[in-house]
This record gives sequence, C-alpha cells and structure tokens, in this order.
Amino acid sequence: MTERELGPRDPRSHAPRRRDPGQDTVLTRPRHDVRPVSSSNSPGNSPGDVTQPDATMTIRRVTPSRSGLSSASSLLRWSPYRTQCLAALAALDLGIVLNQIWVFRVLVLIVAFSFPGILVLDALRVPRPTVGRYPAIVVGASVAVMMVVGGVAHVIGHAAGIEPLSKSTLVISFSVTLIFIGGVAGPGKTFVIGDLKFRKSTFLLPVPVVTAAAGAITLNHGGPSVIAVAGSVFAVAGILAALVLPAPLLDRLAKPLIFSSALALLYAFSLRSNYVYGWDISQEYRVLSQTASNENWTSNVHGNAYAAMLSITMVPAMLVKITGLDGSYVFKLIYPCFAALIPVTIYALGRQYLPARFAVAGPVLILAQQSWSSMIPALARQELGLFYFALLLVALMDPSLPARCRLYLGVIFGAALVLSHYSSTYISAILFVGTSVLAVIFSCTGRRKPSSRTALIATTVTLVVGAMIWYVPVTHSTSELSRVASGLLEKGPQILPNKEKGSFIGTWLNGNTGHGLTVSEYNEELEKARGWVVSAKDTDAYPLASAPAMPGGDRLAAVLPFVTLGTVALNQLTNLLAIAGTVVLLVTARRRGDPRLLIASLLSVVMVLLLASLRLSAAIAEAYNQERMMVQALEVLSLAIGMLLLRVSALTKKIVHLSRAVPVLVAASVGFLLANNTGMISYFNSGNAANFANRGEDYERFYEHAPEVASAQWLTARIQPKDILVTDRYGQLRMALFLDRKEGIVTDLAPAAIDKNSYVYLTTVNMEGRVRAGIGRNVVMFATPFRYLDDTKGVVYANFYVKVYR
Amino acid sequence: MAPPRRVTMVTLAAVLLLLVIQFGPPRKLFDQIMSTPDGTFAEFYFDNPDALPTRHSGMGPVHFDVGIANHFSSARTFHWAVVTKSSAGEVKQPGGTVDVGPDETQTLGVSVNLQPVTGLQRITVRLEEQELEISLLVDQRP
Repeated sequence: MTERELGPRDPRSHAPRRRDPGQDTVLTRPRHDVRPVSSSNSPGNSPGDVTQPDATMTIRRVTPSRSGLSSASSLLRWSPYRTQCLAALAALDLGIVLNQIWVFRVLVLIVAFSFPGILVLDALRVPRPTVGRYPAIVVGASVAVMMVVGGVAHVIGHAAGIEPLSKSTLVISFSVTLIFIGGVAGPGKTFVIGDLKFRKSTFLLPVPVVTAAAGAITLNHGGPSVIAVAGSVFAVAGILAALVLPAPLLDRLAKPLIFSSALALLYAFSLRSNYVYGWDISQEYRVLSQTASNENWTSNVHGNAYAAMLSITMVPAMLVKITGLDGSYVFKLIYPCFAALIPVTIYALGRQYLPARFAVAGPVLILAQQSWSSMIPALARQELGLFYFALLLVALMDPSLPARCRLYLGVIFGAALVLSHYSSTYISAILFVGTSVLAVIFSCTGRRKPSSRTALIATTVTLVVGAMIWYVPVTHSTSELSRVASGLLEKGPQILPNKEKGSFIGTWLNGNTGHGLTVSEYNEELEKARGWVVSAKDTDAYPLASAPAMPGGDRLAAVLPFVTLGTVALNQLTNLLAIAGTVVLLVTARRRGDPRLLIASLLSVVMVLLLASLRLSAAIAEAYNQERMMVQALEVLSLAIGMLLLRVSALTKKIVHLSRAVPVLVAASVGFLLANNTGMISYFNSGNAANFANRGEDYERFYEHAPEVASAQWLTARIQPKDILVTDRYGQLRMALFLDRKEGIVTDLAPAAIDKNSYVYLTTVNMEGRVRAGIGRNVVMFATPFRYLDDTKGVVYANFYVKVYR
Repeated sequence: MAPPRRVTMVTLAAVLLLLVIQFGPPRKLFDQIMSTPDGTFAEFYFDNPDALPTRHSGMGPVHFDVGIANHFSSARTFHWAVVTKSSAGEVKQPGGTVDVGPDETQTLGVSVNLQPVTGLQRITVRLEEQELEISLLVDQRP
C-alpha cells in the first residue's frame, strides 16, 4: 500500500517519516495508538456514507485497544468491509458445496488462502503496508485459521454426531469461525490489500512455472525432455536475472521472479509421477489418506510422529474435502506454493535492511541448494514448517510491525510451526532459546535491550511449551526426539566418527553423510545382522552379484571432477559467508544500535553454532538431515550474508572501482550451483535426472508407477501383522503409501535376509535386475536374486512390472 | 458509489480466467494430470495367499482362487491354463477363458490335480496372452 492509499499524513501524528527500502514511496511508521480507519467509521456516519476502498482515508487517533479487539459499538456497526467479508464467506461456502466443478475449486483455493488470513490480520491490527509487503503472512494466517476451523469442526461434528471433516461440517465450521473473527476484526478497512499494479513484464513471470509443470507432466506421459529442461532453464534464468537486473527493475520484479523460479524448480520434481514423488511424502500421503477417508483426525496416534502433525493430516484432509482435489495433488500442487513463498518472504525481510541487490543474495542461495529442488518437494510437513519459520522471523525482525502485532504473530506462527513439523520445531526451539539467553545476557551487561525481546521470549515459550504439550500429553509422538536422545546418551555426540579414514579436512568436507558400500562389504554386515533369519535353502549357494549397469552415458567425464570440486568449494564458501556475515551483522547491529538487527545477529550466531554441531556430531546428523538443515539455516543467515556482500561490494568499489564485481561473482557462483544442483549437468552428462528424463538414480528410487501402486494396495489388503515383508530400500516407499507399520519390514532384498515364510515385494526396478539396500546412510546396489526366489518361493501376485513372492 | 476501476478490471479478469479454466485448455491439462498414463496392465494373483496349500497328501485335487484385475481401457478376454512341474517333468492342464471389463475384477476357483510324485511340486497358473504367471510350491512328501 502506498502513501497515496493511506491518504494525507495526519498532521497530528508525530511519527518519524522514514525511507522504506521496500517501497518506492515514503511511508508513515505505524504507531501503537494510531490505526488507519476509513472515514466511514466516524461517529454519526451512516453505512451509506462510507468511503470506497480506493478512496482517500484519514488517519486519526483512536483510543488504544491493547487487545486489538474491537469495541462493543464497533462490533454492532455495519460497513462495506463486513459486506465484503460476507460475500467472501458466501463465495467460499458456495465453492465448497460445488467443488466438483473446476471453477469452484479454483475459487475455493483463492478464497481459502486469503480471506481467513486477512480477517485475522485485521483483527490483530497488523498494518496493511506490512501485510502488503509479505503476502505469505496472509497465507500463513489463513492456514492457521484452517487449523482452528479443524478444531471447531471436531466440536461441531462430535456434538452433532457427524464426521468432523465431512464437507457439511466444514462448511458450518468455516462459517462459524470466520463470522466470529470477522466480528472481532471490526469495520473500518477495505478488504483489498496492497496496490494492485500489473505491468506487462509481470505476465511473463508464470512462464517458468507453467513450462516446468508442463515438462513434468509431458515426461510422465512418456514425452520428450525438452519442455522440462526449458522450464528449469527459465527458472535458473529468472534467478540469475534477480541478481543482475538494474536496481529499479529488480525492486519491482524481485518477488514475482523469486516466487516463479522457486515454484518452477519445485514443480519440476513434485509433479513427476501421477502419485507422490519422494521419500517422506509417501508416508505423509498415507496419513493424509487415512485422515481424509475417516473424515476425522484423532490425537491418539500411537506414537506416530507423522500422524501427530496437522500439516499432513487435518489441513490437507480439509483441503481435499473443500476443493475436491485428490490428496496427492494437494501435496504436489499446493504445498510447493508454501515453500516457494519462503525465499520471497526472506527477500522482503532482507529488503527492510538492505538494497534489493544484496537482499536477494540469501534467498537465491536457498534456491541454489540441492535440497531445495529435489528434497523439499518431497517433505510436505517441512514445506509448511519452514514456511512458518520464515514468518516467525518476519514477526521478530520486521521493523514496521508494532510490538503488539509482533507478539501476537510470534505466538500464532510459533503454534502453527509446532503443529506443522516436529524437527523444524525442535531446531527453532533450540535457536530461539539460545537467542533469548543471549538477548538476556546483552540486557544484563548493560547493552542496548533488543526491542523484540518480549516477542522473542513469547515465541520461545510458545515453541517450547507448545511442543511439550502437543508432542507429549496430547499426541504422545516424541518417538523421533526419544530416538535422538537415547542415541546421544548411549554413544555420545560421536564427533567426526569417520576421521580415522581420512584427514580432518576431508572428513569436514564430506560431513556426516553416507557413502557407497561394495557388495562384499554389505554382505559381511548383512550376515552379522541377519543371523536370526530362517532361510529356505543354504544361501551360500546364491552369492550376491553386481547389478546390471544403469543406462546412460558419460559425455562430460573430463569435466565432472571439476564440477564436484567447484560444488564442494562453493558450499564451503557459503558456510564461510555465513560465519563472516554473522560477525559483520553483529558489528553493524551494535554500531547502528538497531535492536532488531541485534536480534537478527544473535539468531545468526546461534544458527551458525547449530550448523557446526550438525557437521561435527554424527549422532545429531543421524537425527536431522544436513541438507534440510541448511535451508532452515539460510532463512536466518540470509540477512548476514547480504550484509557481508554489501560490505565487500563497498570495499571493492572503493579499492578497485568495480561496483558490479560482487553481484556478478555471486551470479556466476549461483549459476554454477544451480546447473549442478538442478540436475542439468547430470542430464547433459548421462541423460539421467529425474526432473528431465525417465531414467536415472532418483527416477528409479522415487518415481512410483501405477502397477507398483496397484500391487502395494493388493499386498496391503492381504498381509497379516505376523507376516514379514522383504523389499528393496525404495520398495518400502511404495508399500508406505498404504501399509501402516514399521515393524516386520526388512529392506535387505538379499538371500541371507529372506525368511522362508516372508512376502517378497519386487518393484519395477527390481524386475529390471537392480536392488538397492543399505546400512544406515550407506547404500549398495546389487542384482535381484531371482534364482534364489524362483527356487524357494511361489509368485502370489504379478502384473507386467511387479511381482510378489511368498 | 461505483467500485474502483481497478477492482472492476481485476474482478472481470478473474471471472474470465475462471471461465477459461472451466471450459478451456487448462481443464484438459488437469484432466490429463489426473489420468493414469501407465494404467495399461492386468493384475493376476492368488486371492488368498494365506490359505494356499503348502503340503498335500496326494489325495484329490488342490483348490485355490485366483483373481484377475483389468486396468486396460477396454474389456479383455483372458485365457488361462495350469502347469504342474515336478521331478517327473512338466504337465499342462486345460484352463479356460474369462471376460473382464475395464477396471473390473474377476475371481476364478481353480482345481488342480497334482502329479503322483513324492516331493516338491510347483503349480503355475498362466494368463497366456499376457505372459503373466503366478505359482505356488506344494510339498507332497508324506
């Protein structure tokens, strides 16, 4: 929203005018006791006299409302705002009822992700310019409202004796909840957010998204790779453009550029296969399917941490019901949008402190991480968890938010994070506890008190207490945390456990990641581990053989070592930038005396320590994937990195008179990382990349075919709790779509591990002769033991692509 | 008190977009997304694998149910046959035909006479044209 929309500056307001780096115009800093209201709210005005949304508004001093709630008289007053609210609610309800028609599905999606959020933000008196700057806040608040609506639906459903997540209960629950919030929000504002400006160039921005989606779908139907490659090329071009565009153009286009590029990279993977694509998402899909088919979510999850997360149970089940979409497409189409809003939000936050060119560097580094495109779209609960984490950072660090809003948003988004993803919550809780402690130490040592300290402590308490309540007495879902704790207690932190095999530097560079095993190494480990198996025959007569080679070439063999070296170097450079940036941010915060920058620098300090502990301790690394942690870390560290680059750029300009050197170097580095991490180099080398072709390592691991899904359904319906199931490391993903158990599944598809009474499930890839297994994070590939299976078992199920032995 | 021109334009654009989505190419694209491109296969299985005989006295035939699910887009006629294989050799027994509509499932009751030999014997049921077969091992030792 620009100053023109806010109207003339209130002559009575003495709020300082400042230049907002996120806007082209000068804004008035919102004050606690001043809120913008339309002239229609003046006492005595009849509803007919009201000013329209775009009309000039006045800002007047009103009685402070500390709770942010409307007075009783304003609750009874009618206004165009409430008419608009009722119209939006009617549209939502109508859309839900008629969601068999595509138009209404789209309508429901648009209204459900905007209207509830706007109502809540108005009720909390969050300044409209802030809301306009962060579209993600509206979406985040809307999803938080959905969680509340889910709770209301359970109350209504149980009282009326109908299923809580049925369509009819949800219509009633949405109406009740939104009418209540609308009443609290009170009259006084237009329902339209921001200045809707469409430039011709804006219409080009969906091009990467549409091309990437079309490319993935074309590949799913056996089409050529060219469209998928073009989609990723457009996305990379968009990201690089964000780094080198002239400043005025960048200011206008940065957000849509980042969003469309981020979403294109995500869709390139998430839309592969007609089912879900990836590891965790297969289990997430199962808990979603169970919730949606039962039309009920229960807190009695029997220790299943997935089932305890509303982000992959109640919320997507509600979306299935209100939009009529299949559950897999809720995860494949809608959830990547949450993730794509993360870098946009981080950019907008950085823009409050940095010029656009440097604010964009951190978010772009997030997109350049390998985990962004290939891993994040397969983690639905983390997409929402990291999304709320970004919103928490906004709540704490955005300078335009009044203290009261900061507190409310911190609590709301903190609670939503707890309900969305346990690992992100644990990391956030440690981060915020550490930062709170540092903030208190700064206060005690007589330094300037961070102004966000109350919000920081409230957010920390929400995360810690919320997690303790939700994960322990409500859902009993602390299995993941218990596993880490018991591992730490039994084995200690296991600092650099692989260091005896190489130098310290080599160990550091490789981190605590897995490595390949040879067939004989694996076999030795297997014999030790599987001594209890009752084999049908002497397995010594059936030694494991090497797997047939995967199709593909090696056209860039001469270049690949340099690519690997360059990637390692740039990843380490990112770590160095984060550390140096944190120091620069800390110094800048103290020099400027900016309390919010101080909070940001303390968050960065703790995050750097967390990253280092994950790198050094195998016990912690076992609990949380380093690549995923890096995405969360860069959300915090983006500001520090941008601040460092700004300083370095100023230095290069002063010393060697090269003003564009740093942005160009950053663009070149990011371009290199993106070329490698999006799979382009792999594709041009061997033709193998799941987002560009129907072959390759990831394709064989994660692409789920219809015959595999059909066979998994068949087996799930017949396997008994007493039965053992032996399958490939990635065959378990197909089974995880439907089979709700962890015990009794053996993922070593080798004769030594096949019990004579077990089921053996062979996937499409196993039928082609390749089996993948592993010990811990170390993976091995060997030939499918067809001879042993044919000699000892019968085939109880077959289609053209899959077999089940018994 | 007419609404601002910008809001009117955006509303009209949204309505137009929704109409295009409902009736235009995006609808076809979404239909294509929802379709199953590799849904051209048949499933062939023992209906109750837990109840399959693993031992047999040698007296009388062996009974079991097999199921056929047709995931082709049109009705198919499946020809099935049974083969028993033991140390004495391979014996093919006559089967039959069954018509299965698209996305339908049929269950067949099958009786098989085992070879009069002592030891392990494999019973294989084949869908001839589809080159699909399922099998079980029966131990006929006393």
